[in-house]
Amino acid sequence: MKRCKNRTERDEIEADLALLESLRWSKKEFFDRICQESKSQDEKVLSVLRLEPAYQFAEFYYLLRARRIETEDDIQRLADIHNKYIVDLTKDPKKMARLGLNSERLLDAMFAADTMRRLAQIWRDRPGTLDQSNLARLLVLVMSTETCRKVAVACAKAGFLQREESPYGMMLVCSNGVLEQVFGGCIRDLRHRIHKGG
Amino acid sequence: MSRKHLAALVIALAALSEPAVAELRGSPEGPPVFTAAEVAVITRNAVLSALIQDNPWAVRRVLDALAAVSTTPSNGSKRAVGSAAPADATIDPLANPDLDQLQRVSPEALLDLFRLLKEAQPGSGGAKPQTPVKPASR
Repeated sequence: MKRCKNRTERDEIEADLALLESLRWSKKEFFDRICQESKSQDEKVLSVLRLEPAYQFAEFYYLLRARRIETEDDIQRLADIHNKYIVDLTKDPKKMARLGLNSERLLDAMFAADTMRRLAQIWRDRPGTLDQSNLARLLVLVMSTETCRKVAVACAKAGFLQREESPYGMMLVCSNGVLEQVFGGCIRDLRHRIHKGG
Repeated sequence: MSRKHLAALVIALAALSEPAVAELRGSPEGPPVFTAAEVAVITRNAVLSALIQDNPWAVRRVLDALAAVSTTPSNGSKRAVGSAAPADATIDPLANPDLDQLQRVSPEALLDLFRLLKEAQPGSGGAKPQTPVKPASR
């Protein structure tokens, strides 16, 4: 009986290890594939693409696409939810500290009336396009404005993002879908790998 | 500088998962070279100011690691996943604004961001998700 129990526990551990290996594999795959897809093979570009924030950046774009954030109303709803979350977060100092954020940084990341208008107008005129500063606002939880800029620049050089300055001095960024496809492919392959058990 | 601060700094650096862009400036036999901007960073971060007297090359490596992650102190929310500096050995963010970003952990933030987008999905729960996928080529 004890031996049977031990074997079951061993099996469980083996399954846990297989899952852990798959998770590690998936992350590695993402960085391999994103570097393979990059139009620039300049090591400076690739080194940024290999950074953790590049993964988070791709995940964000994947989620925008997968969650069907498509219309002007959709992006405004996302910004409203983002604002509400930030207001709630500023009322929770313990959580703010846990996330390593402070109220000043969070308030900067809120969409005020003018930035909200700009967000909606740009999205309406060019669906899927964000002002880089608004993109950084949406990503405030996971990366700094400077890191967002750095990743956006590398993604533009890699051919994943269109990044151009508007006549009003805004830096507009729009994904061409490669980042989302690569990220989605890695997640799907991970799921299949886990289902197959190895 | 206290040992616990140095330990926190070392742990934070070790936890950085990114490949370090360690372009060492200066000769390892001689003192490292710092730009004016880097001197300003050292001056405004108490841990670096203290560390530079004993180990200037460690400061050089910290600055290179910082450059690889982010360089904007007021917006630096990038954090090293898995960094686990002991609670009593954390770096004071007010005294070390540029090092603050090295010691934070954010799996909770990642999950929150995921849930924000889930909530924003049109007709949440109703609309069928569209999954952009590029299958493996191998």
